Amino acid sequence: MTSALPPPTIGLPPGLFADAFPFHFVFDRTLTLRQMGKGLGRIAPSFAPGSLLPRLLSIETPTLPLTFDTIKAHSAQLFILRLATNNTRLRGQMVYLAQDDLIVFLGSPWLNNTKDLIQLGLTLSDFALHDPVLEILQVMQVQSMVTTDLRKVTERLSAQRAELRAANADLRDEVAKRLHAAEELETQRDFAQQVMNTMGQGLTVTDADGCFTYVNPAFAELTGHRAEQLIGASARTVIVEGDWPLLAPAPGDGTSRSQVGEVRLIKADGSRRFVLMTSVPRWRDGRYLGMIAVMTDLDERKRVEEEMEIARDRALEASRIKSDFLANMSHEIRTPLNGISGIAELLGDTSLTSRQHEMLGILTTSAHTLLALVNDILDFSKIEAGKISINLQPFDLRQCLESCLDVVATAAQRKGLGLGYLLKLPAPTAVCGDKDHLSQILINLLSNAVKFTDRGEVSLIVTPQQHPDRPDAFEFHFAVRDTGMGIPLDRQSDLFQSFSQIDGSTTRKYGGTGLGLAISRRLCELMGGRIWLESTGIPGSGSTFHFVTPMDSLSGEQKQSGPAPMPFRDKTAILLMDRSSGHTQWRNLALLAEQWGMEVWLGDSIKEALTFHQSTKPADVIVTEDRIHAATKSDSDDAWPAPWANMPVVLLKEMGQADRESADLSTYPVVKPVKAESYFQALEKALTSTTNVAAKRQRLTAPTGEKLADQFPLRILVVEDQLANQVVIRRMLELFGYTAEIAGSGKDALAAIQATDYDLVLMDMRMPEMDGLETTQRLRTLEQTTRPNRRVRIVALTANASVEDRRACLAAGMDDYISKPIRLSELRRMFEEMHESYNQPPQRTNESQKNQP
Amino acid sequence: MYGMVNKAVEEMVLLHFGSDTWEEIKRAAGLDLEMFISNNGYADEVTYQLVGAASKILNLPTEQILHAFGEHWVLKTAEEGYGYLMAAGGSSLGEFLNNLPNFHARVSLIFPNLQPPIFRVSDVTTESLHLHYFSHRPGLQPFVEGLLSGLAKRFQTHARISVLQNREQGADHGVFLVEWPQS
Repeated sequence: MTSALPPPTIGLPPGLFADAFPFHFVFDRTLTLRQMGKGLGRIAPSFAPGSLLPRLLSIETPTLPLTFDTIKAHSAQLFILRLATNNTRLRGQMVYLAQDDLIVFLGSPWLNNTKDLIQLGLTLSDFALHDPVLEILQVMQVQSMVTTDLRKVTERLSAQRAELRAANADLRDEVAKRLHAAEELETQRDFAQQVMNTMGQGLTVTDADGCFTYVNPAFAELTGHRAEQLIGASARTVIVEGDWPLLAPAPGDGTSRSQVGEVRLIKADGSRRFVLMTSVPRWRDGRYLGMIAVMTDLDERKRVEEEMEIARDRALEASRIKSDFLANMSHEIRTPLNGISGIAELLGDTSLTSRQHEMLGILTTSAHTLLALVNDILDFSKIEAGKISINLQPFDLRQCLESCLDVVATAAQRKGLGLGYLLKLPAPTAVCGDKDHLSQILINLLSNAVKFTDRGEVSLIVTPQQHPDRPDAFEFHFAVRDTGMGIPLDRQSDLFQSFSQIDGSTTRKYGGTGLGLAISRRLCELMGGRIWLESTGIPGSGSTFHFVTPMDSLSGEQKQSGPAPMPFRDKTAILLMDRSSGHTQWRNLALLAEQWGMEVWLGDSIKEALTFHQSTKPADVIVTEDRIHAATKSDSDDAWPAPWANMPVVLLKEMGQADRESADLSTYPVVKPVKAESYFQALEKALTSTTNVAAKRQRLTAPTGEKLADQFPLRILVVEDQLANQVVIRRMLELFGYTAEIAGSGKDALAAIQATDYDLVLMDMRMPEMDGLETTQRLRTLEQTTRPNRRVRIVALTANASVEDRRACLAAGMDDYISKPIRLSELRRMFEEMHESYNQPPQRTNESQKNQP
Repeated sequence: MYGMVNKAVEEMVLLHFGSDTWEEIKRAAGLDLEMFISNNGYADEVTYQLVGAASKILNLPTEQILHAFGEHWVLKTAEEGYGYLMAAGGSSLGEFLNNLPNFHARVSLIFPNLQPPIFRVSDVTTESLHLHYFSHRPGLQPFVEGLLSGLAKRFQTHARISVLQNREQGADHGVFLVEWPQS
């Protein structure tokens, strides 16, 4: 058993005590400081033995007066003291040492943070090892760090919360947008669904395997299946195999190009249905997704098309029947007309009383009017049936214009009207265009102008306009001007309509169908041009009908770009005109003369002309009207000036007067309307052979028409099935001294031709069994094999006066044509042309033509 | 390891390489946390993983990173967090190293879960001493070496630090000879 050891008396030597309590201090009853630790001396230098305690510090806790006994009495309490020098607080306890009647304070400075250590100038070694102040400071420091961490965490959390709020707001916006978009999408989807459900066309969507993923009710109805049955099924199950290629995009396509084609659906009952399918392939990132197709039922359309086709065929057939009927009627009317006209013309050459002549004139005019009517109706019906086509051919424009004027010349002359044309220069004369239709328009306009003009002049003025970029392209402006009755403004707009005339009385007074201008307008449009009217509407002020049409100049003409030849260079002409016969033709004559190199004086005063001749320049030739020349020669007051006694004179004569040559050896006649070529020849003769009387006499003994057969014998065959026509033609030929043989059919004609070498065949077009065209073709073939070096001249006798018919004649191998009813003047022209071609060298070169007008 | 250590690693990376690199290192270390709390304990592996990931990402040897971390700890982390305590620890390298054992002993009391290394000083002269380093954690001797280097810089003292005994080479504790010639 061990006995408890007596507790040791712990007494620390002063040095160790100072180390153990570096911040202690001791004071006596007088509160005088008796001893202190070194640490206290470091933080409070005012502490020194002998100092009075109240000056050095105060008691903060407990709340006591600073007296020795009071402190002694409360020594069991924790004391917190505050140093006077730096407010540092000391924490510790008071121990009363009874033996020495002293009180010792044991404690250390109370520090709140490590910074205080440095401010008080303390180091770690200033503290006793047992003193926990440093650890407390460490703890506080760690707390400070943790607080910093927490603040950072809080800051980060706040920042993240803010970010989160922002993200939430964005998210809410995004959600709202998406909701809105979804609603929109839903609306659009509903709309699309409604459209697809209600659209009349079938709509299908197929996947990449060609199986339906959607079909609308219309498609289901087209097939006769229910939509549910079709979903998932291959499109091939409802489409005929031959149409499958339309169900997939073209290999390697890769685009959303649509395909359109007709496909045949297989209906539920096995029947077929035509639909028009438009399919669009769907692709995403180069991957084929399938096809969207829209199908339109074609059954109804096909039925309507078929009905329309039938109706169109019927209409075409009706139109063809009508055209044929009109053509036949035309022919049937022409045939007896031919007889009437022919006999009337023959009657005219017999001795008749004046009353009979008058009646015969009415008969002839009526027959011609009826013929014009038939021609108009035939033309119009052909235009309506679309049977008119444009035939471009090279031709001489000036000759064409002159031919047109020729047609109306007789009528103009009969009414005492001036008639002339003017081709404004520079102008290409060789052009490429539809000569026949151009002539038809011009003749129609000129005929109308003559018909509706009682006095004055009818003129045709042609103005070419070259294309700015294409030198060979021209637009020709034709103006047919008259000094007639004029056209009221309120009737001008429908004047070019069918069956339109100014009023009913016009038809009664002037005749005609009212189709002429409508035909002209349509022809003009076919030729790429237009036609219009210029008239003030004041009665008697006259009218001008204009039309324009494009025509190309022939390239050969263009190459001849040098100056025109001037055959009459240095010559001077006096053109003494008669204003009453129209100014236009005189302008044209002056222009032509200037073109050929002459100096021209143009006027209507003999006196002025003579002054020019005597004072300015002596003339080489005078061109004037026959009337002026004749009147002045017989009138002693205004006699033909003596200085002109031997002057060569080119005389403009009316038709019918030219044949009766004047005995005056110095005059050279030219028939009105003057043709450039005959004008040139007359001038040439007047200027080069003014004294060639022998030549003149030779001309005077040239064969007349009546003796033509003697001078120009021909073997003639007439191919004509109608007896009346045979008689008329034979009689007419007899007037020229010819005796013709007759063949009553094409077959007879071929036989006759094989037997006899004819020079001329007059071929009727309409004959039973073998018509004129076929007979001609066979005849030409026969000719090739039997007489390759001989070519008989074949002239058509055609009642079918249209341009197309004439072309058909020439194409079949004919050389010329004469319209029925046959006129003597036409026969004379034919013989003259034939005579001329026989007398001229076989091939007249273009170059020589170019040097002629 | 307390959070303040990992936090110091983070601060060092942020200071020298930026936040993107730090995030990359965290990802490489498999760490998915926003930040470290200073007085919170974390598994030692966290620190090792961070150092390993940093070595990989920054392409630097682990030893170098630990050495740099040691310097950073003294010059930045301790200075900013314990500046006054550090100042109170001594006015010279020798004084501070002499106080180090006590200083560390006190710290271990404050952080109950801390298993801090233990330091001991021997062979003290006016210009040198031996610092003994005891720790149950392997591989951190370069960190201690970095600490000593950082302290020398803090006191603006030219010091030579030699490893007399390396724990990583089998010794029971590491011993450093720290010399600071006066002239």
